Amino acid sequence: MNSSDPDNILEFRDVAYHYDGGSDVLNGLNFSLERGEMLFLTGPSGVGKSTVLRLAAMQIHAARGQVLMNGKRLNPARAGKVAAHRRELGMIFQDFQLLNDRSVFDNIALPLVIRGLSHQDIGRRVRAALDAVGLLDREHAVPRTLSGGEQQRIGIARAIVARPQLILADEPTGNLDPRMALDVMRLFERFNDGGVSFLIATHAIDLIEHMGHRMIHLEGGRRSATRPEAASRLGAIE
Amino acid sequence: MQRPSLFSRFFSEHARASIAALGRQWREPLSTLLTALVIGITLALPAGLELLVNNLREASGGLQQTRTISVFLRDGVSQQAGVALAETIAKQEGVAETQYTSREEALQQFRDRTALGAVLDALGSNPLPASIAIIPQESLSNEGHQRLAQEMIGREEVEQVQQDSVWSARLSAALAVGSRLALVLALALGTAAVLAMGNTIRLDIESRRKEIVVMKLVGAPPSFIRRPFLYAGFWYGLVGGLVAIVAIYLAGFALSGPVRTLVELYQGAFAVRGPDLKLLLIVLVAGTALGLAGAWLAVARHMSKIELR
Repeated sequence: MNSSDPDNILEFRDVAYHYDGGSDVLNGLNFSLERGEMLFLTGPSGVGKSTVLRLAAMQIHAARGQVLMNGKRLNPARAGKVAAHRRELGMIFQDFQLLNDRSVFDNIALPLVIRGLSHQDIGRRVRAALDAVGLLDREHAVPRTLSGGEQQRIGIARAIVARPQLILADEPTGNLDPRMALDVMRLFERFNDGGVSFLIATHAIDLIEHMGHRMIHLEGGRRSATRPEAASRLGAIE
Repeated sequence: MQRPSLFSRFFSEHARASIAALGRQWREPLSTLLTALVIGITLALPAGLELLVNNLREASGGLQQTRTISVFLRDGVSQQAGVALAETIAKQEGVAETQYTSREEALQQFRDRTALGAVLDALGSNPLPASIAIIPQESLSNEGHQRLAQEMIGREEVEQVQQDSVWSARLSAALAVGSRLALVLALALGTAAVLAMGNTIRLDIESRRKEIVVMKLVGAPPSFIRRPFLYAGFWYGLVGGLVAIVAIYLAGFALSGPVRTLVELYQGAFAVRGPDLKLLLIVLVAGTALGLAGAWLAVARHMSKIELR
């Protein structure tokens, strides 16, 4: 099974992974993420949801099987190639991973600075991203002075500012109250409607089961169930 | 998405990293000064020693007269023949000038310089020979000096040849040892400075671990992440070089008074010379190179290990 479906942006084929000295975290995991799809990974703690995201971000590499993005296998590679791969992604974390020694604007600008964009382009696109997450008036603030929900929205703005094909989100609502969590999921849906693919690891079943997106439940290192049947979008559960 | 040209991007990224690194050091002046002092002292010691050697070489240059070859003529050589011989020798390659001293002049000089005139009178005749003092050119090598002396010994008018160059050769050898010692010192201290700089940058890397993690997560290439730390090393090294230059000037200033007094006691005209432009440039370039080498060492060793856990 070497050919890859061009509709798939990400594929896991019989992937196994184990941490040093530990038992298997993943054992024969198979799934694919279609272009423009929003897919949730669920399951109890330690089942390997974050490991899936780390494999997709080339932070770690599969002990067995293949991880493919856009049909290309993600093999262990030099740091330069790993960096190039990550520039194709946006990443969102439970603990936000923002830098508190610089402003909101500078945090969001980082992916653009790395890409070498001009000052004008950076300013324009950072403000567009801030506008998209509803924090245009906070560009000069330092992240730690903002609420958890606002910090996560800054994390989202940083993830989408360079217009990546795929966003990986690891427990993005884990530190947020239900209202803020709902806001964040709505934002994801808005960007998803714009064509961005999402792979989201989450515990928040109650929140996502009404969203109408595919869910993969992990257990024992592999997929135990897929739930494509959910009907409504977030707008319907308000 | 509009991208600036490759050159403009290269220039602006380097300018940004360079200014950011300088700003970071400016905000921590004490720590910066201490690190720069390590490099400064490392450079000032060998550079100061080299400068001392150069000054001694300069001072010994005024003593070239001690390289004079004294040629004592046989009793039978007339004054006219002696003067002619002195003129012939003066035209030889490697000879700056010659001075003929007749037997009578030698006797008079002996009387003037010593209190032994009465002893000579008691001898009844002048025992001192006529002589020719040969002053070699400064550029004449020790080998050339030896050849000239040997040539004089071979002449039939010559009774004896006396060289005063032995101690001068020893001084030259001692100065060469001093110069080599400065080089060895520079290598040893330079290695220590690279390690100290590496440790400083390692601490810098540790204190900015989260920033590095985030940069890696958003796809920053290794060169982009390395750059601020390499510029930190560059600035530490450059400031260290400036510290070394100040230290050398201060040492020269502190020594110039006592040296002047010493030289005056020996009726000399020597003055301590400060570092020339070449030495100053070497110190600055060496400081910058040490800073960069230390930073590169730390970055190569520690940067790749930092990832989000």
